Amino acid sequence: MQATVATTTLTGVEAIAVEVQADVSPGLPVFGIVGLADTAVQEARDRVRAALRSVGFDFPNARVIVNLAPAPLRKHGTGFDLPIALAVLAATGQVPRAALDDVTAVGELGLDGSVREIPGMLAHAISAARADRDLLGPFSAGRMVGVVPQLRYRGIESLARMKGGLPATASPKASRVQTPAIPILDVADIAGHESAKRGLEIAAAGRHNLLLVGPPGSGKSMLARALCGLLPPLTEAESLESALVHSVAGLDPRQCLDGIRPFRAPHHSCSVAGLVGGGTPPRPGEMSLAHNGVLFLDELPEFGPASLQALRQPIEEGVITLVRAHGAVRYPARVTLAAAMNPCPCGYAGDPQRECRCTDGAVARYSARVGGPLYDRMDLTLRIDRVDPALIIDDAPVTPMSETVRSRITTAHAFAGTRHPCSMRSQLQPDARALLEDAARHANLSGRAVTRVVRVARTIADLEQSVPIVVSHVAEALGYRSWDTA
Amino acid sequence: MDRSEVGKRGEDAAAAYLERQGLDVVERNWRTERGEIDIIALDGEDLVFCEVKTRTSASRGTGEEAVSQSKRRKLVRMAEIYLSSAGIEPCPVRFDVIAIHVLGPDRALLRHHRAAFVVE
Repeated sequence: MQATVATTTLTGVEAIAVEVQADVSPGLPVFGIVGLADTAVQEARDRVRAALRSVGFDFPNARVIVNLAPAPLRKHGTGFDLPIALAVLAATGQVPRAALDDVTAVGELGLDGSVREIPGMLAHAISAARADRDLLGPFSAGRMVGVVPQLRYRGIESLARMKGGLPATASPKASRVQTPAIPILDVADIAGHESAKRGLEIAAAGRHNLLLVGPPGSGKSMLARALCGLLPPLTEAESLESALVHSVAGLDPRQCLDGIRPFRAPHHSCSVAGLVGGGTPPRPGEMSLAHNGVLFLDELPEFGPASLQALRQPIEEGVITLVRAHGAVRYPARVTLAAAMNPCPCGYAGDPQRECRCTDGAVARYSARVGGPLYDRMDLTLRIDRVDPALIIDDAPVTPMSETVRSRITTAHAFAGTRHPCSMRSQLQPDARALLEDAARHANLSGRAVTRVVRVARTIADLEQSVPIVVSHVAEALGYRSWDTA
Repeated sequence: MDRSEVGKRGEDAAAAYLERQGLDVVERNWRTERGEIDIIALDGEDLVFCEVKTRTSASRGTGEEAVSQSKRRKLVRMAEIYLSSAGIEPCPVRFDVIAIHVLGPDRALLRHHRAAFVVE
């Protein structure tokens, strides 16, 4: 007797359809799984056998062969437990075969027959909704997958539930709790740093990459954290994208679903695979987990050179493609990159009061660890100076509240959405254009740098709700590229 | 009583037990050049290959423990030979283990493990 149950398996952030075919025939009692299954899938044999018995189904005393088609695709993980169990049950007539025709099943089994969540439930749900099939999975995931439009979800706590036929579809409606994102750190709580706050505002309004350079303890990390609080909450589509990456990585996607922008701050000992993704099976890295949010790299030069250079291509493209011998996977990685570093090993180069003790060579070597191509991708370089101690002691807020700043950013976003989407270059006023050309020639700016300056100038104009880009916008934008122009 | 005699009496007891359970013993000590199967029996539709282990003391572990992976593999290979020999219709197959712990001259404990293992 044969039976087939549909399931899906993860490749990148997508779930691909896989057919679980079971053949039960008389002969030596074998339970074999074929079709490029990894160790976790092979272990399904023991879980399925125990689960079936403990909820009172019979495991056939026969030759049971399970094939996972398409066979050339590598199968990872424990999500195959439930479909394998169902295929065996259908092949032995313990569950009616017709009941499983329009169902895609995913879930891990416990030895007691309980159905458990697996990483990537959102990806499986999206795939099932797209294929217009019911998704049968762990009951506990029901609330979370409820955010996927047009999904019919059938949740079960235990395999025992299958004795009464298929459970009813539940359409748990979108559980998006629109809590206003509580900023990790409010800009209003930061004393001083007025020019840096202006830089943060521009970075947040235009999603520009940001490099903070300053002596130790001057507030670089604090400012970077405040950046996340300035960004408007995730849109519905963005929150699903970000939640999908978290789900695939086996992390809790609820914060993303609630509209809170991801903020990821990996330690500088982070490996290349940890930063951009990798491993077997491939897993998204920190950069993808920060998709639609902020990736904060503190102590930038301390990161391994391989890790840093791996960032270059995804910064430009907003997506990471990991190519392996058996195929390529893509993870989204549209991040606002915020990086912080000291100007030199001792940290005081350029400090007006304190003398730097580093040799010129040491300073050059330190800065070279980051490398020109990465500096080139930083839209705003902000020099962070030590704040006057009196300001910190008195704790005097002299800056606009973050609410005000955020509303300016939201207005700028809305304005950018409505203004005529013609080429940015045509919005450059003649004198602004002349200034840019002059500066670019003088500082030997790269093509990319020029484009990025125009984009920053565009954002500054958006903050003023001005369609033309005037000379003051370009001048300010150029000022943030101190790296090139210094 | 020497070791082979203990084994022989254990197998007799196991065969008698299986008959009492309603099974038809079709072969005893079925031999190939790879070794022998202690008991082959019919349980309704099912063909049962049964390995019997008899222990007089626990010093070498229980009888079940003695059915190691290599022993199981050997049994499976012999079962394949038996099934491919003439006149055997395809049928459900089972591997049982019977462990007998001898307590006294006429007293023993018998444990019957139905479907004790499957082909790996």
